[in-house]
Amino acid sequence: MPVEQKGEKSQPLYFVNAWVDYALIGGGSILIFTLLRQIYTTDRTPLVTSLGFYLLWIVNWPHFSATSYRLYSSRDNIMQYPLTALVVPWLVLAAVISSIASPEVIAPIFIKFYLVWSPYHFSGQTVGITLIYARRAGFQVGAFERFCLSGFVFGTFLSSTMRGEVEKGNGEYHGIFCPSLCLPEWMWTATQAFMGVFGILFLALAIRWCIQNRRILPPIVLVPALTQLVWFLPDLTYPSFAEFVPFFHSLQYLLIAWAMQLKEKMDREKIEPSSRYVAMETLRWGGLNVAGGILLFYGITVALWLFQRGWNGTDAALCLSAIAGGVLWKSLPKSIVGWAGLCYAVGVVGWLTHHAIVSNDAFWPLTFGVVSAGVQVHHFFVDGVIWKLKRKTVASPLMVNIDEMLHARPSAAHAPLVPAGVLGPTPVAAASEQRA
Amino acid sequence: MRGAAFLPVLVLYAASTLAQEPQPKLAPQSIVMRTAAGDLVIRLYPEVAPLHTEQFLKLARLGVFNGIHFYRIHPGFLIQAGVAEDRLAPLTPEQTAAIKTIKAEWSSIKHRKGVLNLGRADNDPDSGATAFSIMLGDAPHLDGLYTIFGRVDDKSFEVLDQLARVPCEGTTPKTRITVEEAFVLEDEKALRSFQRAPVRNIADEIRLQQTRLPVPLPVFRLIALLTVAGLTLYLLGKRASNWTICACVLVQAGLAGWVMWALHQASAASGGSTDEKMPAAGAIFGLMIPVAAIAALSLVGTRWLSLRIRMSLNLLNVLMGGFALILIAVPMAQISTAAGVAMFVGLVSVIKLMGSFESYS
Repeated sequence: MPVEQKGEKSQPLYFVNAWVDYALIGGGSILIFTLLRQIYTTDRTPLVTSLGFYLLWIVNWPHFSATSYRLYSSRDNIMQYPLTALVVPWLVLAAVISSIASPEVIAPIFIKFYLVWSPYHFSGQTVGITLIYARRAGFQVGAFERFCLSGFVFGTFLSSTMRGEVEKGNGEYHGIFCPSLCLPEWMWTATQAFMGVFGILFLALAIRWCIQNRRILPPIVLVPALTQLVWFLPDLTYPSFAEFVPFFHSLQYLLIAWAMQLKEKMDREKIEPSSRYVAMETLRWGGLNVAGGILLFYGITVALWLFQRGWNGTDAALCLSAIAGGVLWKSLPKSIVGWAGLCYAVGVVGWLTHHAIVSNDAFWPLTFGVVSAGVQVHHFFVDGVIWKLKRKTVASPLMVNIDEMLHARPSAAHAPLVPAGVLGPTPVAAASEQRA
Repeated sequence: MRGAAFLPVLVLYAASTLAQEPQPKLAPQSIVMRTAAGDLVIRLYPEVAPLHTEQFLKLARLGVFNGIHFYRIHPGFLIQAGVAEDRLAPLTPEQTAAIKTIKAEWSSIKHRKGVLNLGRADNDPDSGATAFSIMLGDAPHLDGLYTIFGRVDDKSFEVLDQLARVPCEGTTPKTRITVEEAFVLEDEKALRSFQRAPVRNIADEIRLQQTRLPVPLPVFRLIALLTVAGLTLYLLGKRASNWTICACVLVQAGLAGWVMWALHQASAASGGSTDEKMPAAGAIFGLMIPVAAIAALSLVGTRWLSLRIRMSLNLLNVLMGGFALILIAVPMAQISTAAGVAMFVGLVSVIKLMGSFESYS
């Protein structure tokens, strides 16, 4: 039953402002979707694939790195999720190595696991973002609303996945072919109906809320679900756009992870709000994640590829010096020297990657494909654990607005986790209370 | 009467026309494709289509055609096969690297029964790679449009006739007709001494295919359903009872172990090598040991391990056990819809469960 929140009139609706939030949460996706279809092309042309690939470097891969950074950046975080932080990586590494060792038997099943999990993960994020904006808008999502929303969003995942699984051919990922589950055709039809029914129900509930509260529900609450539809509805989407879907998914993620990082660090280190802090921390966090993404995807692939091919003295020296560069950054994270070390490590990995690609070694695509899947599966694991909105420490900073970090607010700037009853209900504390 | 006088002339004319049709030289090598209906022996035309001949021999030697299937059967016209990406087992990097498009090689050879041509994109004659057609009858409208690079030998015609009888929906076979194995006979002598598999009735073979599984199909269906039931119990019982979860894990481990044993028995009975028959067995066995160990630890450690740790350990077990079962059962989806549905539900359930890690504190 939708209920209007009491005492939340001043709750900021956006992380930054309407323009930025709409653009990153789904407006950009819908705009590009329309432009590609109407003006450019629906085909996966070389220009499209190249652009999609470069966007992976600067947006998609950093979003994986951001998750790892969030989990591993402090001992407290690791101890809060010990199995996820300390056991899951080894499990994923074992799966990656087994897949490389057995490209015909284990790799296809591991890739299948990843290919099914990936759109499921996208759907989970869409539901989460919708819930965040619903709370910001004062639209309390009850169990039934949540059920309908999830039914619709996960219905898009089921429908798109099912479409691939009813076909009898093999799916392909970086040259690794995995068998279709050969599901019956009626299951695809059934999932489309499932998605449609829950979509209509959720829309009806939103309209009822508008009528009951004599208020228009801010459209941003519905944008994530609409975006999900554009991403996944099989009859709607097309190859050129599909190339950019991971980019748009990552943009959503980075907006929220960025706001969270700024807020948490500010609270933890008692930093005064200022535009300088926001700019410097954005640069530091952004740069670190771009480097982290390259090291995760190319660094691990290069290491496994070299292991497979056999090391020579130069390789070993380069790898050791790259590790030294990383250690230097870890030791001196705030100095130019530390950052130079990190840049050097990225450069070495880039050089070795280039060397591997031009050598045209047939094992490179297999290794890269399996490592990519492994890094992403690890991300899915970690994301499912660290972003639980039920946890106050997660949910509270998610109600932040950039203004709080740009300009000092004496009453609330450093007090997001103070119980509402002590200092009065700050917007953030009230939002947490609402979920309890 | 006057017409009858011309008849011998017409017959002679027709005979001379046929005689004028070029009879291309055959390569000494032959490619044998073993199917449920028998062996198709393919002879290649090295002078008419040297690039195609070289490429097909290379791919056959690398094993690219093992596990491909006949995806289009049009009685009286043609059958098509050879999409390497749709093989049962994925291509190895070496095989993938060997597959290249071949430039068309035109000739005046006609499309008659038994002739092979290379499939290609409609708008690009040089786009063919591995997919090919075998003609089931004369098709003059295709002459000059596709590269003809060989034919099946006369003894393979019976096999072709059997393949043409496979039940289809439209032109798509209802049952997957796989090239179980493809290999090269290197010269005429090898061909002469080659013992062909007997031609078999395809309807009987399709019926038999299901009983030739390593374990009977109903057993696999049962396993698939039990997997789903086990995962459902995990979902329902994750907050209720540690014992429920442990019991499910043990059932899962037991089932997987039993399937392994059955695979091993089937392999031993058929005289095939273990590696060939159950390549995943080692991996499954490797997974089952920690699964059983963790389940036992979780059961006996109720006093000194926190609930959070035990539940997380059990979830690890679900992941490993589920992965092992998926490893076994995904190939089953190719022939059993129930297995496919069960595996899909199982996969989604495992994925959903993974979000429950460390959420019991």
